[in-house]
Amino acid sequence: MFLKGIEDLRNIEFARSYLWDCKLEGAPSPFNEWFPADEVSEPVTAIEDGDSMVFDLLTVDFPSKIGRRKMSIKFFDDQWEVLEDYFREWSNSIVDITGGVVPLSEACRQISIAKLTPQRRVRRYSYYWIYPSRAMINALTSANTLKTTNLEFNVAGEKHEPQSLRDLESKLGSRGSNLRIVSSGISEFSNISNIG
Amino acid sequence: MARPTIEGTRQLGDFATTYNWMLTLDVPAGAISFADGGIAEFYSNTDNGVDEVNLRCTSTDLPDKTIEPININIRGFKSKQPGQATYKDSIDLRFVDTVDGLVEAFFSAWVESSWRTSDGYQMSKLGNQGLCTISRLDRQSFNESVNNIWDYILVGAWCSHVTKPTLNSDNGLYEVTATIQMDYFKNLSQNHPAVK
Repeated sequence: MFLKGIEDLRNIEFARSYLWDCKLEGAPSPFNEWFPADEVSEPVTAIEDGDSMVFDLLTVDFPSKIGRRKMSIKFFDDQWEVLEDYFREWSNSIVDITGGVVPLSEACRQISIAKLTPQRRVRRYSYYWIYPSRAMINALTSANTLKTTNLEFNVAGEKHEPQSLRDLESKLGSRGSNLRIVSSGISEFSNISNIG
Repeated sequence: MARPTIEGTRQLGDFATTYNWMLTLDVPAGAISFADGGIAEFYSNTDNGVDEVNLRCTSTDLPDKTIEPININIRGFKSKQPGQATYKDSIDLRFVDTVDGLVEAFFSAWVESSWRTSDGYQMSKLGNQGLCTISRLDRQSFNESVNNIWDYILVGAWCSHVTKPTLNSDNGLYEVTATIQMDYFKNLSQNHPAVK
């Protein structure tokens, strides 16, 4: 027997979906210390399938590469819509129709996501270097609700604590060549984190 | 554990009662004066009408908090763990009104401050929200010394609805019910200071 009975369940404190917090670099007051996100979809893994091999009657897919990593955030705003202004300014600073596009390192800003225990202690910080992707649209309605905005981001780099980046690199470096490419990519991300 | 005896119960002292209580409303004066200047003048002369409202209050609900359970069901084994807290949606304060219509005027003005009928103007959150304190008293509190044995402090209180009675041919009083919304409540217990 794997699951012996109800006592096996009772011994576990299961994770909740609402025990998290987040902060966006450079966000204006009153959201400079905490970001009013309602929902965050956080990228965890993104291995893409590569070629398929057929062995007689058996077909096997081989892992190919790590795919694009995206994040989406659904958030509220205050009555002055300071976040709408913030994202507009951010987007305009990335692509200027007269001046071109800034380098990736200048386009990215850091979002920090803290995972909490039920006792409200941080068990892990995740840092992502992101920039807005696709369109940001205001959905204005006549409903008796708060204004919410969905925004997608491309993830250019990430770091997790308490697992250190060095530990991560050493683990990745000990494996095959493809993983070393990933490792070097992460090193590049760490350079981005040093900016500013 | 022996069964209770009459001497045992006599040692317990005074029992708490349901009829020794008082209501304190700390409403921003601007919220009450918003709709009608005449009401503002009256309430400025009567400590913002706090005592007038308390004298006419006949009964009230008490706030409570529910921890919503999260049900875990894995292959027929069911367990529960505590989830989020939900505060009671609203509190109903019931009044008998006098012929000058003070209670209905007070709470109608407060409702109006959240949405002005003529043009939909809404006062700011801080401008129309107050503190509502329901105090349970001991039996010796009829004189100068008011002995609150337990205070329920409703934080972020605002009036969302005034329920009027049906006019009919019964031998009854004109009873008005004010529905008070709140963000949360605090317990202030004289004998149990640790209770929050």
